[in-house]
Amino acid sequence: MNKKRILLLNGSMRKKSTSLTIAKAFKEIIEKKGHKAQIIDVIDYFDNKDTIENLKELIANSDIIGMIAPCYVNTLPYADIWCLEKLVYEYQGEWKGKGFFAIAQGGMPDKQVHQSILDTSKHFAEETEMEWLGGLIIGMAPIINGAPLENFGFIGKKIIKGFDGAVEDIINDKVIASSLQKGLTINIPKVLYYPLSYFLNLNTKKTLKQNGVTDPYRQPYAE
Amino acid sequence: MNIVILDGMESENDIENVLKKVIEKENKTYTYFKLKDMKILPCRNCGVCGVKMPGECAFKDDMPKIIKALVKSEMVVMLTPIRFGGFDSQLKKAVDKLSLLGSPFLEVKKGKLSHPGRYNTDGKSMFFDFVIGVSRNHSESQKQSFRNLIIQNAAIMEMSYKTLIVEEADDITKIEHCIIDALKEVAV
Repeated sequence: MNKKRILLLNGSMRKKSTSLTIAKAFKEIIEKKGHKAQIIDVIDYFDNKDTIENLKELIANSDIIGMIAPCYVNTLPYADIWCLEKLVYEYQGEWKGKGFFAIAQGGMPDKQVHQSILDTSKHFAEETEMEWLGGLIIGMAPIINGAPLENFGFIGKKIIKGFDGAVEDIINDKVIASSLQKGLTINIPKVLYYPLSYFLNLNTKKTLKQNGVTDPYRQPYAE
Repeated sequence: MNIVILDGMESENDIENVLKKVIEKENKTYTYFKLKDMKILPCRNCGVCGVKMPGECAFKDDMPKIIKALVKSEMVVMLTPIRFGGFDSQLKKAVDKLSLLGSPFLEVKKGKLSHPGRYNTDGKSMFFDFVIGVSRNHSESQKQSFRNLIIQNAAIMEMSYKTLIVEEADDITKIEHCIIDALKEVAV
């Protein structure tokens, strides 16, 4: 078997995060299948805890690279875009033919809200001559909140099954099957958005109260 | 009309000068921010602005200057090179922090979940979002990704929007006319 080396870029701005949970689940599946995986935190490069030179070397030594990132205002966080820009500026044609995929996660259930993460990753792959292997979008992801996927019963199993299929595809140099996205998408009828927002808002109100916030509608920058 | 310009271009360029000139000719007032020269720290998703100090960032940087200008404006003009079918990091550092303008609560509007604006208490759109993407001979696929991103931004922040894509290599007079036409269309 041709052992693949897969580099997982955790695009979260936080160390304990849903993106890291997803990256860890991917790493476990990849290793169970007899391949190698390594997780790195993009924020460490932005914060100068490590160098772009080292990241370039890690990419050079990998067969497949995956961006696993949260959705900030519909796309990748600033630091992730900064990092991709740095990589493109310094790209000298050495990554041609490597595979690149992305996993987007965010709070909103509608996957279109997070689509730009996959689009951005695809265009980055094109600009660095990597093969775009597609991606997956996970909505309603904050419920995971850094906890292991196994803790989430049926939903957790369903997500892990989807990830298993995605890993199988990428290690075989195939584009992640669109049927896997269908299995991961929680189809909430729009009419249920009203009770959903009601319950999420109740939870927010509870947290605000716990934090001693008396005016959640305050306007600190109004003059 | 008060306009805020968020300039995400890396260096001084003809497009920002033309944009300012066109706005001045229309007798509109504007506040201009060259994002490259501003200290804007990345959003760390710490949650403080949502549920601890609502509407306020825990990290002290130049973002309050932008937010203060935006809450008094009717339109924001965002200028950015198209980068991977989206915003350049210079603009994105500010866009990530526009969440300071939103309420931590969700509402359903036009069949989508969104965060209502903290400062638009009359239920109207906070401001018009006019985004100018500067293409460097980008593919149609990247341009379409860019347009789609603006649509999603506008939906989640409950804004009206207009996207204009210009080619950097085009004659500056042609770009000026494109900006004039677009501004006429979005006059609020």
